[in-house]
Amino acid sequence: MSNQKISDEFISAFVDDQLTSEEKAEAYQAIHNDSEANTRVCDLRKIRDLLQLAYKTPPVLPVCSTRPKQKSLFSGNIAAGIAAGVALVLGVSLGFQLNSDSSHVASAPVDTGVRTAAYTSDDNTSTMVATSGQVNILIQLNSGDRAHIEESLNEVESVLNYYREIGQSARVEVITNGDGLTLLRKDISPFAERVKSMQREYDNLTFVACQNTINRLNAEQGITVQLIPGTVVIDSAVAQIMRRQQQGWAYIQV
Amino acid sequence: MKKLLAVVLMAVFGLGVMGVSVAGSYGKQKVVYHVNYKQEKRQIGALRNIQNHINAVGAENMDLRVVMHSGGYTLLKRANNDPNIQGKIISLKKQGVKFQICANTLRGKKLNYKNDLFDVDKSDIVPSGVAELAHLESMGFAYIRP
Repeated sequence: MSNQKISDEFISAFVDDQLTSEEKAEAYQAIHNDSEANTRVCDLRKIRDLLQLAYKTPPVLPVCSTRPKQKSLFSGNIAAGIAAGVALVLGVSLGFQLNSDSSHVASAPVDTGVRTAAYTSDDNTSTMVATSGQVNILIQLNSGDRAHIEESLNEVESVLNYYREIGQSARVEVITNGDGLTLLRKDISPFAERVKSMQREYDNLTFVACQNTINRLNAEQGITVQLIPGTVVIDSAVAQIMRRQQQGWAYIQV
Repeated sequence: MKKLLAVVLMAVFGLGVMGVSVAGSYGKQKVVYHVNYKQEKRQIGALRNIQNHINAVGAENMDLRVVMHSGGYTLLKRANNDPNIQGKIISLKKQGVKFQICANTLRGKKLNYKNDLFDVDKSDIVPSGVAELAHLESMGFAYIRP
């Protein structure tokens, strides 16, 4: 695989997350070894993210532009009673809106281009169908306790089954860092077979490992981490949690 | 006359914005607290966090939910026999806090919500705790897991 030239279709499918988990794992390996393919993936991702940004921005704008608009309206026609009347109405409604909807206003800056665009080059996972009917959930696991992991897998399974039953399109990403990485380590995972069968059962489920944790285990304990096939590796779990929340994913810690 | 009218309206306009924005420094908040752990100390800590949160923001400004699943159900089990926990839950409910429990958990742990848990109404049961959290977050609820 890594010796072959990688086709545009394959890269496109990879970026759009249309590969099976085995293919995905292969793709990561291949792209890792092929700087030219890596560049193509990054470029395609940038285009995809810009497109998403373009769709994402408009609804936010009215909130940001409300204030300056009123200022000019007010100072320009100060003598006209009608204008002042309009300003009064707008002002009061603005006041109410600011008050009742403060969370919305506060979240607006997150959607500016700078922060969202910043992650494009190192976002190693590939998801995003930002249609309104889609549910996206990021579940973080950072405990290595066997009973805790088992309970968490039960939860993941039951929410996936629930969405399946009601016909809700959903994506679930289980992100492991710290001790939670245990779940995805081929040699010591208490539930390796279960992870594999869950991967087979749900194509909308991805298991993700944190590169920082992998590096730390290597540096501190000399461990070369081996992951269950199909696991996706991302740069940093914390960064991924922030990115996903900015993209509108629900974040849940188990 | 026109000028006077404008000045009066300007004053009212200013007051309108100011008056509303100073009422409660945090404004309105929608928050969901996630309890899926069974440690008693941590659960009581969560109840205390919620009360402090209400004290800071004001019950009238909040839509506050507690979603319990997995080991989190033990909070309501304890409340049946522990007057301290029970009192805290009653008090929070009076302030508008909604306690929601996962149907999967009730099934999995073979619980009878009427007998085994404290003050659970049928309407407090959600089909999936995780899906409920995802739903609330998508509605703009802040997620807190104390």
